[in-house]
Amino acid sequence: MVKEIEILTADDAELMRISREGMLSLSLNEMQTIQAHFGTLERNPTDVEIETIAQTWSEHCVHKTFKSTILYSEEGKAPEQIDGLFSTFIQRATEEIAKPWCVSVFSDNAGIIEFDEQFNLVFKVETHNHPSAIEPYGGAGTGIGGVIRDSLGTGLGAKPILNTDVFCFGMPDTPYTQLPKGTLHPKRVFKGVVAGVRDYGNRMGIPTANGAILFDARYTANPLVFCGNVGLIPRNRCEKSVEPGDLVVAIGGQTGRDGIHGATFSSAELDDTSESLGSVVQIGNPIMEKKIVDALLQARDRNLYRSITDCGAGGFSSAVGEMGEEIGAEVHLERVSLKYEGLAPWEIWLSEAQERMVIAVPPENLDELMEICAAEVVEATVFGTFTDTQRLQVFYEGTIVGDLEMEFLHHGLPMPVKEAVWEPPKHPDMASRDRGIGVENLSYTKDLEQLLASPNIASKESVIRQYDHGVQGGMVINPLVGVENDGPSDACVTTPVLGSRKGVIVANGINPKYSDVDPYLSAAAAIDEALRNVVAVGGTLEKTALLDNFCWGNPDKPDRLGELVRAARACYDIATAYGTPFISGKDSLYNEYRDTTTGEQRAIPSTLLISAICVMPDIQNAVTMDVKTPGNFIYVVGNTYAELGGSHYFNIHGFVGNTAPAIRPGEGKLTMERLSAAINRGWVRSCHDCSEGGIGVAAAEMAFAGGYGMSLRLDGIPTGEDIDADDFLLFSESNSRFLVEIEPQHQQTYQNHMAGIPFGCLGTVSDTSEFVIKGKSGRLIVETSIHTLKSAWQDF
Amino acid sequence: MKNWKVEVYYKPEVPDTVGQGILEDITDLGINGIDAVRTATVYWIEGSFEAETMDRIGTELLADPITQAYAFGTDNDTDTDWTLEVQFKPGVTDAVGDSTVKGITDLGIAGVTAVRTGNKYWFTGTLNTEVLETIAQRLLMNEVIQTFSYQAPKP
Repeated sequence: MVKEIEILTADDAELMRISREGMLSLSLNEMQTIQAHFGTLERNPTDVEIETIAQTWSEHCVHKTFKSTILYSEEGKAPEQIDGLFSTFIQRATEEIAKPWCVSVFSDNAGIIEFDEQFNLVFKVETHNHPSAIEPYGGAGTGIGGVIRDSLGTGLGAKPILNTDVFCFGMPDTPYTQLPKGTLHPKRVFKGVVAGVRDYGNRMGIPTANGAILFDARYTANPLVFCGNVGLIPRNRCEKSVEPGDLVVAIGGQTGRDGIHGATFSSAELDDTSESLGSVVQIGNPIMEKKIVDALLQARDRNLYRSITDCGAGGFSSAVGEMGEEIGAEVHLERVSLKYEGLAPWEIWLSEAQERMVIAVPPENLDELMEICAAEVVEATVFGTFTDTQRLQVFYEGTIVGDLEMEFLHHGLPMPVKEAVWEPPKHPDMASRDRGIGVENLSYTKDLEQLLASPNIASKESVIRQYDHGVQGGMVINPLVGVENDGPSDACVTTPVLGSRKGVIVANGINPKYSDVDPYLSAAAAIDEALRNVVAVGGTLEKTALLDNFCWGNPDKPDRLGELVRAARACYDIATAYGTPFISGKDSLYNEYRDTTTGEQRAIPSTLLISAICVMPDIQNAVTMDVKTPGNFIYVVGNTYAELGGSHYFNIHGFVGNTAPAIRPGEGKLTMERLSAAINRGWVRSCHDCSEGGIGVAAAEMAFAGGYGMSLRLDGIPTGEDIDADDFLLFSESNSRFLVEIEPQHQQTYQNHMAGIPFGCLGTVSDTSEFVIKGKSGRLIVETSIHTLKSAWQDF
Repeated sequence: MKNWKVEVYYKPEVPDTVGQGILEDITDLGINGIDAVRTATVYWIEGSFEAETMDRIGTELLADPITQAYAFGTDNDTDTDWTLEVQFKPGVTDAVGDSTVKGITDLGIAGVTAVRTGNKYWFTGTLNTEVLETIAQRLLMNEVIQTFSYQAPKP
């Protein structure tokens, strides 16, 4: 049942053949390191051992790219050596910001921050891209299932209270003839992914309350599925430890051949044969996971176990290997509960069968644990013991089939040195349509309607309605708000402790289109957008933490890695400027597609998702984005610049441009802080951030969500530079801007409060359905009704 | 030990919204000529019980008595429709099947050893095998985890 892998005598070509054919995704340097290690032991590794090493050393589990040394060069600048993107840009930002309310960052399965006297919050966002490309329903469902287990595996276990999800798909109207070989149609992926997330979240009784859906042709072969979960954990259950003698106990589902090689598979590029990789597919069972949560939270409250982790990528190998890293562990694979016979020992060890957790149980607590599990109808199996040998020892039917030193397993990986280059791209620029012939009759009504109907901006109600966002009873601001409950909320607000007025805000920011101009600006804009969304519903920068999720192309290629360096650097610069620490993150690299017949290679747009979580002292200060009362004033807060590179306005006219929104965190921080204070003092009736489609789209959304028209003039817009063009004023996507609604009685107080911050009155809410905008010269440039705008927005 | 095959489908007077959605998706593919699609969930139940017990399982567990009907022992096919059946490949986790085992046991019925689930579709209209395979592969099944089989109308 156990094979010896002949590597001692292998030459380099043979080593690479073993790696490739075994789907190990190990580089030559890594194979040579393994060869040298076993050379000193004077024996070959078993399949169990080499699989364990491949899993532990996979990009997915150890994040080599973010830890390795990078030699970075950029036109006109001296080459630079970066000793780890993670420690240089992400971790350092958090250390320097040093928020006292950060309880645990980057060390556990999720980040932990303080909530109230009794509880802390945990937050984690994961990706499940490769599995969702192959089997959308199962892949997305197990993505959400996996991130819920991350919360459950943090500290001694958090109760899942909220799911978030962000998807990136190919264009829904892609013709079948243009579909890359071996890939599923974007529509099919879309439907399957949404159904997978829906069925898992709803069936577990967890609200899915925040998210986004983006479209770009380059996601066709590599869709992105980000799944996040927030959990609530008692403050005295946030630490874990393992003692020698503790039992290794598996809780939950049985082990089958599901998802073998998931960790190594996700560290490789997809090609047109990937569709046939049946064994990597995982199928979820939310009912099973709900039972595990119920059983484990009882066991946690009775202190029955000392440590817990989830079985994600790499299965038992990863879970037991990590838990026993400091001390050692021995396991007996024949004791594992199997779905069916015939699994080889390495398959049992590596299987990524879903809905399994591993806990470390002191032997005296075993009976009580087993009683709870029996009562909840959850299978629990003792299959090993934590030891003090500093070794990971794997037995099958009494024979040792794997025996690895923890030191080599966890610290033996040779870190590569990688090269990165960044060259700013040049795109054709688009001129304002305000100049030239026929300008006097120019109207932007159609542009506005076209923007509202474009897939990235249009209403996602048909998706959001499939998710339960009311379950658990704490939702304060739903994803859909307004007079008819169908306007796009900036962020969700929930009260996890019913009866308390303390709330949690969850928001996100993502802007891959700016990556086409500069990934630095894309990352900066993602942070700014996530924070704007938090502030818009009543949150503060002071109490906000961030998560980063990088989805990138192949980092072994210097240009892709150069983009990653740019984005990571922005994370440091902007997070420190705003004082918002990163508490957790994840990366999914190698999102590329290779056509094996044509050799064509295509990467996704460099995509950074920033998720924000904010603790709100009093949910009664929360505001929504829909306008409330005719006669109220609409103000713009924050300067507008002529920044349309990567904007949706350029996009609908077929341009990318070169001037993506710059980031001015000094200005932005001051604006957000002052606005937060105004909202928390009750002077703001509604607030919406300006993002995709700029002021034009934001104003339209506020108006039709509230059911009232608006009468606006662009000369009220504060600008950071001279802008004459009405279309640029209307559709520029500059950062750190908001639209707010102020009652006449608060106008003076509000204006005094905002002194020193760029702001201007744009117009008023009207008591008709007319939506009109006058340009700088006073000419009518948009003339339509909120009903026309709303139906354009909903026609997706 | 007996193998039962149970089809659970909407009563004729109840709109089959799943089927209607599939029909729209088929039109989206650029395929015309199909007039209606009906759907059913199929349960392959392995257990040592008789027809009366199967009736109880059908009534109390598998079919919604208001909107759905069930059939076992015979297929609910017509002579004029194309039929397509999709099922999981062996070894693929079937969460609904596992829950059904528990559901049957919870009814106090002993002797169920395994349940696998799948889907069945009836197509009314003009169709040929090539088109049916396209519909199956693009919309209704994923070859990574499922297999399908189909039958043409009786001549």
